[in-house]
Amino acid sequence: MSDMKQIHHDFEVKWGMAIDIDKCTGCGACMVACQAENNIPPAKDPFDRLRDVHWIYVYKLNNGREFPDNDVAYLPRPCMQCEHPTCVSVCPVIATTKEEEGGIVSQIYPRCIGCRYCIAACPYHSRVFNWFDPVWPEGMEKTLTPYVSVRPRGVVEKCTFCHHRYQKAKEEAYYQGKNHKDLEESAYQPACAEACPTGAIVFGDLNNPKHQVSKLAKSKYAFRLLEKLGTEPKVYYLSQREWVRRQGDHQLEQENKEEVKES
Amino acid sequence: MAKKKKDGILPFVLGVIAILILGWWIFPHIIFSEQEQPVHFNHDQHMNLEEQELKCRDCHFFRNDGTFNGRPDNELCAGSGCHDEMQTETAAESKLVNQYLEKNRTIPWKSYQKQPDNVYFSHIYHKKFDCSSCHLDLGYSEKLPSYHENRITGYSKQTMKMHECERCHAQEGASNACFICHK
Amino acid sequence: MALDRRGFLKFAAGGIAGSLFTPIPWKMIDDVSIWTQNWSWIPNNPEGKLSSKPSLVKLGSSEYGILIQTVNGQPITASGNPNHGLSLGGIDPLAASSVQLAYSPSRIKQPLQKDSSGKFNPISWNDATKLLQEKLEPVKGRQDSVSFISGDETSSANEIMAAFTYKMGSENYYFPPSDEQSQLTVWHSLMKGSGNIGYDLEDSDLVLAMGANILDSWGTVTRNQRLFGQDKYRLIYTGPTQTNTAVGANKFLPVQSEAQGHLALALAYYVMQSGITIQNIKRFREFYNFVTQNYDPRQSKQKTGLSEDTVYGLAKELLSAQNPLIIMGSLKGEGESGFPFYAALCLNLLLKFGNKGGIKNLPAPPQVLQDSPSLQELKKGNLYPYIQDVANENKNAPEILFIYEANPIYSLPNPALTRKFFDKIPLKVSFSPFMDETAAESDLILPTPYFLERYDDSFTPFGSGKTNYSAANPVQAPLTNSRNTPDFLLDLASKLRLNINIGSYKSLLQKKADLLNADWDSLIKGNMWTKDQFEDSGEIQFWNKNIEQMLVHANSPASNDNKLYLVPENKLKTGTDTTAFTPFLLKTFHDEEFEDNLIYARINGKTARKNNLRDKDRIHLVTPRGRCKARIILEEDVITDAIVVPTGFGHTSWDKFSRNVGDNVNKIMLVKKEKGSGLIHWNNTKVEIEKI
Repeated sequence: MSDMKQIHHDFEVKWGMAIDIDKCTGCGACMVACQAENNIPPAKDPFDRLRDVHWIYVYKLNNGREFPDNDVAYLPRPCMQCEHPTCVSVCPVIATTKEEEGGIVSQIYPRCIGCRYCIAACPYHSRVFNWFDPVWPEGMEKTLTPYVSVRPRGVVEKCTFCHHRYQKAKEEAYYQGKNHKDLEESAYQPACAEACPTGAIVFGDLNNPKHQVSKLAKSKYAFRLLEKLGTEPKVYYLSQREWVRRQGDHQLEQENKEEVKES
Repeated sequence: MAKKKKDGILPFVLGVIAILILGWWIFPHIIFSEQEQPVHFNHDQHMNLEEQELKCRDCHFFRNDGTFNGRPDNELCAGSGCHDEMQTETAAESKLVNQYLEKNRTIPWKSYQKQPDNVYFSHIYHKKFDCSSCHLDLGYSEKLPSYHENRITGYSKQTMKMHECERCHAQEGASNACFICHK
Repeated sequence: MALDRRGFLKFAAGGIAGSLFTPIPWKMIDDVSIWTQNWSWIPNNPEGKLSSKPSLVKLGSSEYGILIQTVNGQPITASGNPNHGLSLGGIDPLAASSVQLAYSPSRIKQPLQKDSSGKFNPISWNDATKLLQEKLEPVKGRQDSVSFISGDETSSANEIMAAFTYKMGSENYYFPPSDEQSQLTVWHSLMKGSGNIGYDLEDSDLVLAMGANILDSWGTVTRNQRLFGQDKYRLIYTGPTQTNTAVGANKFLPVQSEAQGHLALALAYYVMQSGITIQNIKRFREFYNFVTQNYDPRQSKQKTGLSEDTVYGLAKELLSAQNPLIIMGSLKGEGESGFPFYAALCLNLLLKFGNKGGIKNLPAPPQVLQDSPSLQELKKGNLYPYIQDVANENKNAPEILFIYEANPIYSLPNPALTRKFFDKIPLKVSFSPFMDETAAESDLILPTPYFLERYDDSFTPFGSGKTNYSAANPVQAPLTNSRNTPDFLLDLASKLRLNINIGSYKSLLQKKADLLNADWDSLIKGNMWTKDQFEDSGEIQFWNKNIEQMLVHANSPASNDNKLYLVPENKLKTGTDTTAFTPFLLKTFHDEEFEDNLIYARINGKTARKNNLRDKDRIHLVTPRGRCKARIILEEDVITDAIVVPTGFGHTSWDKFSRNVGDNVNKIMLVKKEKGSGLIHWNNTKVEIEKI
């Protein structure tokens, strides 16, 4: 674990998310907006989860109790953009790296050879493989965006926190003579955060006190998925319900009754 | 016996010479096809107009959000005072107006610096360099040069390769992280 | 030296060795590797100027302003419009997929006419106009000349379409059933109120959503969600299962759909016990007596299934809130009886503590065409009894039936009856842009442009809190050979010499904006016009003979059979009554909802044990109307004795993405007529389970 820390840099800007699970209604607007923004094609068989491509996916959780004590929650899961990404360390061709200011883990499609080692390494199932060539119904390819290249079959892809929007925000800041390391919160928002109707997905610079997400990440209700693994994900989840927080790390019933963190 | 051995080298040497000629003189020509631009555009004429003094940035400029417009679109060419009416009687202009502007068809310019879809390039960061550091210097040309397209890859002969960008980035101290230039 | 074999081989070897010193192999390797990255069948990215244009969503659910991002004018993605009061920056999943839906394979490319063999053949607009002229000219002035079904309640296109119908002599203009329609019938016919019900979420601090899926598909969905996300109100949801609204809500209470009305009156009991009464309500005393006699804590517990403490606690929360609001609805958004709406309206009026929050009384839209029928009145017209009358030959079938933005063959219960109705009509004309089930069974399809390709407007969509008006310009040129329906009808009307005094649909919209003193230029920029405009609610009655009949019927003891309550759950991601789920919406389906082409029917463990069912059992849901295939899934958020089935599946038309996926639960629902209100309802269907 300690030698992993040596590889990765500490950046001034740390893009992260705080997703409020208590506000998520599971509507799926984030999944649709992500697909449209990032040129993800409609699936050949959408009900085959092993072959479909999702960059952000909304999982359904429940507390395992019987009616009427049952409770349900939805959890949107983009790429965690870990501080210590396990996927980066296993890529044989360095198609994925984390060396850019902002801490977004990059994925370069022409370099990827499709070995899928990174998919095995990612504990969050964030990465997906293109089993098929992308096919849009006739005419629908006109709605492709200029933001992200279209991937052929055989390469791995994942959520990039809409990195192209970061590029655009930096470009605009440079043009206006502003500091690109101190962007306004509204200047750069990924498609999912922008679409979310309840505003459950909050995005921003975790290191910037002016961004909402930096406060939310320190909330006593904040937790991250699989913290035990030491990947240091930059996506925080918030829930006032203890059973949701406990599912973040697969706690056993009797294990580690939570001490609520001091906020 | 000795004679035969001496003979022996000649075909080999001939082979080398032949391939060197083929590789250095003939191959560079046949690998590229030569194409013409869809419309004959005369930069020199446009820079020396009597009615208006056009500068480079009247047609090639940064937009309000910092993006570079690249080549002017139909809206600009057909702007008032310009080609909303025929200004000359040349065949080139009538092709521009009749086949493209009036039908609102985008002109399929062949880009000398064509880059693949997965490359992201932002002109604003490279503002301090002269345009001709990377592009052909056409500002005062009378004719757009032929477009040489690589028959195998489909890219232009002048298309910059990744190592050229990386070298300059390293020299200037700009980041060489993958996502800086890729999408 | 002759060229012998050895010489040739040496020459070749020289060539190969020498080639390493030329660019040939190195460039070829590089070029070929690039060539392998550029397969011709992989589409390229577009290039060009990025821009953003405002539009107005019209897909059968909440209408609100959105922004469409464009590249060189070509729409690419859709997002919310922060400047629009009903979007507030957010967007729902259906609208987010709307740009791509324009290119659905089921888009109708030109007007089509069905021939005798049942195949569709292209027909020109001129020929279609002539055909309709020939059919309509002889029946002008007759009551059974034309009938019209319009699925878009908020658009001003209705003015032209209703005027056309009316001038042809017919009064048969209907909107498909909805919660709005059922509630309006209760409010006007039973309670003698007037105007429309508005929901002031902006100023409410506590919202009790009873069945109404306000965070997923009910009313002004995105606005509801946005305000909730901004912590403007606390939300409590009661219903038979944890819908998406319940998952987002602060509290969930399991209540059977049938019991929602009872719960509202049980709460009214406590509210009135605390001393609250209302002035200006007629016959309040009789209401008070009825509730006191029938909804005391013990009876309420039995009727609602909730403990006395729970109901009392809920009542206390409502009473201590500053501006509470109760939103009553059905999980499907239609097919509910009048009783729950009545109960919720009474409770809302009891809890109305001031001008802010709670329900509001909103005026009807102003009409540009003065001699056109009142759309407010037409809204209450009940489509189902009309279909019944025509199918059973109690009423004459119209010569021509027009269908606009509606899909009754799919969405109405009892599709056999709807088909029988269709069979009686000589000419059915669909204006749908897509080949939906109704268009597939029509004789003539005259496609209207997709909402991104046309002018349209929306006046105070159901669920709004204030009077509002939105309008939009087209974002892209029509992708098909289509014609805007109101304009087409104006053209046809002038050929038939029916005097409809407006030149075009666009000028009607502009006149509408003038009537409201709204700035047209601001509207088409994506801004919503709004005004604090209220209607005097008239002489509201809480009691009369019809209400009494309705209440007595609702309180009659339920039959004790072993059947399960069928709960059809509508999520926006499985489409609406008008629009099937889109190609891009498929991403939102979980494998928990669907497997092996069978929809999941959700029950809890106790229900399963009572009925000898196991997880993953393949079953039929059986009613006297028919069978619906499904697979059992055990989920504990479902109330006992209920079975929850998703709607939106079982399409037989549309495109390959939505066709033949699962089964349509609409077809098995049992239609009943409520005593007292006369409302047709089907939400309390009970089903038997048959294992396959």
